[in-house]
Amino acid sequence: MNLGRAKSILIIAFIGLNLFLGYHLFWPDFGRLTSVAVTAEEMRITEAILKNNNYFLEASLDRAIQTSDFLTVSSTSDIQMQIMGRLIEKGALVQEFEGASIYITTGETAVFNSSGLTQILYDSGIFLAEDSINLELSELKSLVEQFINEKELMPEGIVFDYLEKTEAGSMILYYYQVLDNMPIFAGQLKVIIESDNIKAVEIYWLKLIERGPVREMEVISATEALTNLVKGLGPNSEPRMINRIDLGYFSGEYDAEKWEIPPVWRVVLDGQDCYYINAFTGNLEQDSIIPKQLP
Amino acid sequence: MIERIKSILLLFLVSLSLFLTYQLWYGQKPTHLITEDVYERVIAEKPRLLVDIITPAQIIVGTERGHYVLKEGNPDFHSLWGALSQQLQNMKQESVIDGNVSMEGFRNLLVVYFKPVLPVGSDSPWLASAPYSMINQIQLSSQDSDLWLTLSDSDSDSTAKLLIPPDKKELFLQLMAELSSEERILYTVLTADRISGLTNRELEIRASVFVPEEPVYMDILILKPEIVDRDLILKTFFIDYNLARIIEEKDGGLIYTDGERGLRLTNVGLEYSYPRLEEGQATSSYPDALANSSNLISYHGGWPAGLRLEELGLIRQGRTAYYMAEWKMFYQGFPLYVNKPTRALFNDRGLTHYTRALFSVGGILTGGEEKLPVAGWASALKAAIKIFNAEQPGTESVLRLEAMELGYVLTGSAVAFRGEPVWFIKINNYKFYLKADSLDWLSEEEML
Repeated sequence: MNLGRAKSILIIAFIGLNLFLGYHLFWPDFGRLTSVAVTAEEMRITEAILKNNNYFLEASLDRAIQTSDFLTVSSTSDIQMQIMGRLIEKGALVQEFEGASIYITTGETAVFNSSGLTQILYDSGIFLAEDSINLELSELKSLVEQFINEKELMPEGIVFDYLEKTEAGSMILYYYQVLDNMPIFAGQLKVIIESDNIKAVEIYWLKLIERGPVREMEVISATEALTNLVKGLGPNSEPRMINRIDLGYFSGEYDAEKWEIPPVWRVVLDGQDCYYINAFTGNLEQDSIIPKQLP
Repeated sequence: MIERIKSILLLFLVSLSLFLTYQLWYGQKPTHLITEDVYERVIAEKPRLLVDIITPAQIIVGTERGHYVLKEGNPDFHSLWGALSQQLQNMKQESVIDGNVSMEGFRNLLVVYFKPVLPVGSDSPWLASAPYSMINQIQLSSQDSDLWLTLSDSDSDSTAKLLIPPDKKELFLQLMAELSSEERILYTVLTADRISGLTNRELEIRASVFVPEEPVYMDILILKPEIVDRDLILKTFFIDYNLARIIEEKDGGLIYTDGERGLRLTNVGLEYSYPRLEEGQATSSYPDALANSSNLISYHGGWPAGLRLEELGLIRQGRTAYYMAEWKMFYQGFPLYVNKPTRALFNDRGLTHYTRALFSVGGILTGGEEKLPVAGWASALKAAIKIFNAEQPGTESVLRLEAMELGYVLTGSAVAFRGEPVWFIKINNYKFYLKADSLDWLSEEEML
């Protein structure tokens, strides 16, 4: 055998060896690209847990492995300033009460909380449409959006979320915020309709201060989130439907300078009850864990 | 030429295979994608042992001149308690003298009061071979040439007498002689006779209250808050603090929360809360709870000198139960009263609430000639009763004096903290803080 031929054999052998080593070395990341976070077996187990506790999955699950990070946000004062300006032009009477500013004009009262939450109350309501409770959702949405546009209450990045009908006959339309193409469930606009009249609008909107890719981490799977939710809520006597499960961001309202909000899996039960599972820790998010004064 | 290229390629492939083998062997982790989940207990300092957790509430020393009162931070307090504690650790059940001991010729040398109580017997380093009991008072007495210890059980009126071995007597006699030779302020015990005529309302004394008989002068203190190592304290509460999000408050405070527990750090201390653990039971024994309290304060910030465990109690609320431990700072025998005490609530599931705001003395605002003359105890008591009558008109006719002592309260502003000398008086569970010189009432709103 000549030297040239030996070299060729060795080159082929070493190419093979390097491919083998490279595959094993980078397998977790290759695996990440090719595999899924939720296997068919995990799906079956989760559905069984849900069924045993009287929950039924109607939503489709995102089965890909996903990563996310914290967002640093603060409440935006832009909308508050716009509304305040409009009300002052109308000659509003301004009062202060427990840290909130209250602007009162004929037929309209606006409460500006220091946390950033704005509540606009229409004393006798603003007429929307006859028999509004029986309108098609698209038609109702269109009328409501026309109203909030006219009143200059439409914030940027608003997306319709869901409609809640109460036993008393009132309707609440929920909108959430989209920031940088990400759903922010903490940012919310609520329109309350009673007896064909818009009675109140509530706005809590956030602005993005910083996105922290330095802490990017893998999020828990949707099935793990569902299992944790069932563990947190416990079994049900009546069947409950899981209509949606989406990855977004959520936190409570803070009267703070700025704060970080974590990614969450939002689970919508029976079309209107929302629960938030922290997508990093798997904990059921509560409104406020801020330390309280000791008993 | 082709052979040369083959050689270079082969050399490259061999080198690459060596590099990849090295990487594979020593492991390369995509750490930027996977959170670090290695659990490592991070602590501020090692917890204290049981013998160092409890110190007496006060030691009353009887001398020929009168009584001296020693408290945490007083010179000689720790040497006296240390000697007594060591003696109790060395004694066995056999040292307890059964039967009646004649009290004839007994002379009290000192009385040591415990709050929280001292666990003695099995599971405790003190008198380890004796049956378990909780002691609230120890007396050291002399009779002829013997020295006796009398231990009073907090749950019953029973007492146990122990004879100090002759070879250990000298140590105590020497300590007593040293104490007697030093100039100190004399104290007197308040009795019904001493307070009669002070007020037109009936007044009962419900505790061993010792007050100064001689003029006392105190300083206004400059206090400085404890500097908390934020990074370290964060690690002691959150196993993986990458998962904790930060909330910046408008007043500069920082809140860290992982959605289940929250930690607020301010410029003067911290507050921690883990509400999910509140629904729990507290089944640990009193000595175990003492050890737990030491673990908690040591892990989460440390146990500095001058800080004393003031209270440890089991609290039952509905179906839940928890222990509450509270600490207080002392300066030269005087306690520092603050509005938000350093306190931990814990049960079998763990720490549910914790507040910590500790201040140390950074200097003296008044000194030398400018020291404040403290109003006498009789004037202070009368002033407190007057405020009580004005604030609580029509309450029960019998007043109960539950505590009375000199101390400091934290006042000032968020950037300049002061320790103001006060008389602390507790009547019918109402606490009064009166400025030590003027006897002006300092309400809790005025305290920081």
